[in-house]
Amino acid sequence: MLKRSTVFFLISILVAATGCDSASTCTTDCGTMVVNLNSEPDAILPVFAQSSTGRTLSALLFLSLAEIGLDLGVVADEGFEPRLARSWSFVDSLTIQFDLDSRARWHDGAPVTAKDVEFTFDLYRDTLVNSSFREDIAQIESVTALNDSTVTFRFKEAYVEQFYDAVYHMKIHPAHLLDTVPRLEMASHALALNPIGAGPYKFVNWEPGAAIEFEANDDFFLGKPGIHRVVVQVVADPNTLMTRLRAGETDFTDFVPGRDNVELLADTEHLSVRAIPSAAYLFLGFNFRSATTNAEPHPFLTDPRIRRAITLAIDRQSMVEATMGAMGAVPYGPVSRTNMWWNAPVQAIPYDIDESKELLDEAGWIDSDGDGIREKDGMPLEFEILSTTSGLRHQMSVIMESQLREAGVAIRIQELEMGAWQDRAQNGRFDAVFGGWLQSPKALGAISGAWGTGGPQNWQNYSNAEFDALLDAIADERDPGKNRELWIEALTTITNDAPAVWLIAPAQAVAIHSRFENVSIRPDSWAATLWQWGIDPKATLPRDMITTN
Amino acid sequence: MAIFLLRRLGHSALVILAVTTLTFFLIRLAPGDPVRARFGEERVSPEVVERYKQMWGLDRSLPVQYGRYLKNLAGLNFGHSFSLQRPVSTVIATALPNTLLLATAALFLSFTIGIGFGTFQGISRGSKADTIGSLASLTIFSTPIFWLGIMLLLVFGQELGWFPIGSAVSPVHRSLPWIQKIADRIHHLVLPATALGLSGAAVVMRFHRAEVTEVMERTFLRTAIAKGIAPRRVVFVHILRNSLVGAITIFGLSLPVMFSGAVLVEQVFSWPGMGQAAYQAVLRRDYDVVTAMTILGAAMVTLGNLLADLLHQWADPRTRST
Repeated sequence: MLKRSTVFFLISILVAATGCDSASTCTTDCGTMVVNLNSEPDAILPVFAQSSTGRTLSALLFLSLAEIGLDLGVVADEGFEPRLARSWSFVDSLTIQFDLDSRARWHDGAPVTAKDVEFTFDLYRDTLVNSSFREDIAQIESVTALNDSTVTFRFKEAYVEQFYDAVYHMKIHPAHLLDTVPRLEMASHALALNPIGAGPYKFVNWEPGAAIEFEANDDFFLGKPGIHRVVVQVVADPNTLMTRLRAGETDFTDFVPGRDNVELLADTEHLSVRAIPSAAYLFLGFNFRSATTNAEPHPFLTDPRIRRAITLAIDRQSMVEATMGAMGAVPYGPVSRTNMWWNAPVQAIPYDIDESKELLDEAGWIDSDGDGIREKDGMPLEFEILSTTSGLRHQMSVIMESQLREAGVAIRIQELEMGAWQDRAQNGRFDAVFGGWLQSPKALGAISGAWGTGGPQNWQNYSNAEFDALLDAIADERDPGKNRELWIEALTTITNDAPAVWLIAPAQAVAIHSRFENVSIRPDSWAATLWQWGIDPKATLPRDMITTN
Repeated sequence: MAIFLLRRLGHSALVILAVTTLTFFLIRLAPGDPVRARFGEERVSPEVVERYKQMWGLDRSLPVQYGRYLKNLAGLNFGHSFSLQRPVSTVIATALPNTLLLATAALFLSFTIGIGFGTFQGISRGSKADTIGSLASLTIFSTPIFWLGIMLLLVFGQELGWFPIGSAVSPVHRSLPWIQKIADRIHHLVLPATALGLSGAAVVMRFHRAEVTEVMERTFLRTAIAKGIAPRRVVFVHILRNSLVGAITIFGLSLPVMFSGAVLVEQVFSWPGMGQAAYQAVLRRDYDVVTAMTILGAAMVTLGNLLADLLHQWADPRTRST
């Protein structure tokens, strides 16, 4: 039997824990933002951060020389804002010079110098460190510190996105702390797990699987952050995440899954849901080689008439409306909503079931045995879609299955766990792959890597000489007007060739507690502008008032 | 007794060694290599792969690697987590206490509820209360644990707001005074421990009811009642003591069940324990973490069995070996 005193003790501590005290007005060092993400970052030292969570969170701790604008423009230095660099100048077509902001300090008090920038470049291109950004900075020949506050970047060749490549991929690392750490062991070194940066937030604690805590850097040279503490928790279960958001326990999440959840949260009083353009686009990519041998051409998907007929038979607009509602849009080609050519005047292949049937008839695929599926030389027009276990992809696959049957095309849906899916997809063991790419702001690299001949992400083995030539021409064309014309021609070429059905370009739904003010979200990184957010002093919660000790 | 204990400990060690060996070799038979797994899809030059393999000892033959692994294991060195960039022992050190806390609280709940209600049902066999109790235990027993968890979250977390929704502590835990830290932990523990404990309680309740029923039919009990011994003493001394042997057996067997059930409960409640760590590690192909979790799981099961046998012998002199 529990004694009365024990019961009383239990009740009193529960009352203490529930924090029944009402919130008073927020004055100083207050504000707690609880962020829920669905996966743990792989690293928070920027050079090792491969996952998008890792890249995003490292932006709280570390700064670039200059920050890309909210519209993610990559042409010259248009839209870029000063960060560690106070100013910059283009010395000649191959050289950019940066002057560092003398106010910038590392979290340990040491000044940020040009040596740090030089060290950072050396770190990022080191093959032993093997940063996932190494390829992105391959065009930079050297980085040289001229004195403590001036540094120059020298490029191998002149191109439009030089400035972007100089500042976007690398966040500056502290040379005075890291230069003695062996490169092979750096990823698991104490300074990689408890990093010291020069950004708006300081690292406090990381308990794997539970939470990562950051505290405002009150001495941040660009201004004190408006939110004092940021606690990032990993909540893998989407139901739990939704419940937490609705109960007010979570302040922010960058991924609200599913149309129903978006609508549910939009109706929740203390939340605002925003649609942020996403860098992702989903597609059904056709394999140009046989799925079994991966050597011979695919028996029928190499025929452009069949690929076009399949695209014509899928009503993508209604499919997007049914699955994502207002959060989705149909792309004309391999472009996401953050891609600079999203609004380019390129005509998408429309939904036209009659034209689809005519094309298939013309190609010699006829339903001769009356089973609803077309055949040619005894081979049925049937192929397998290699997909993942994601709910959205499943919904879309099922819709495509019924729409394609209308045209006399049969598909088999094979859904695999992500790792197994990737194993098969990378090795070209599929007829059609339900894939998706996140595009970096630099359009050329993103598109040529996935759709150019021999591109590292071109798992479909797609090869179109005309398209490749246009991409090469784009890389060499400096004149903005001509560059644009070439882009439109290239995108029209690939769209008409239909190497894939371009299915959906989603917007990302983010949910934010309504007590936050001055909220701006850059599509590629919500953390990049977080230090400029604030809290409405009249709407604070008890957790905002608990000061750090 | 000492010989028995030594023999059983020896058996347990052998089982754990067998599981370790099997896991070690099976995971290395699986496709993919850890260096490439560490760097994802990025292209890594063969020289760099070699350097990392040397650093992690992967350039040696499998038997040598196995020998090293066992040696490291003896020093509680479980290897390195590629995805979290820290020793596996650190990952275990953060996750294990959370799981132990959850499992202990759940075990406590399931046995207090299970034995309490099971005894009551047994002595009032055939009554309405017994029928209701049986129905309730069957319902809970057949309810999927994750569903039970979600329902508890919705009702007591979201709707009533009595308990926090998931996580082991609140976001501001680190800044709380120590007394509130304890309270915060208990507050977060209640719902997940209830979800895990209730399904355990249903099992204990059914087993214990049967045990009590059996004891009730024994002649010594009729004699005790006929002698006019106080009902309270009959229940607590004569019935409970004789029926507890069965519960003790379930106790030992419940340990592994609690740990496997914890995987689901941890997922629903975002509880940062072993189940969550193992699940995330499998998704990321973090070999060393997966191996360590499997070995620890095997250790729990064998030790649970050993504990059950020991408790059984302590409680029932007839089973003692000489």
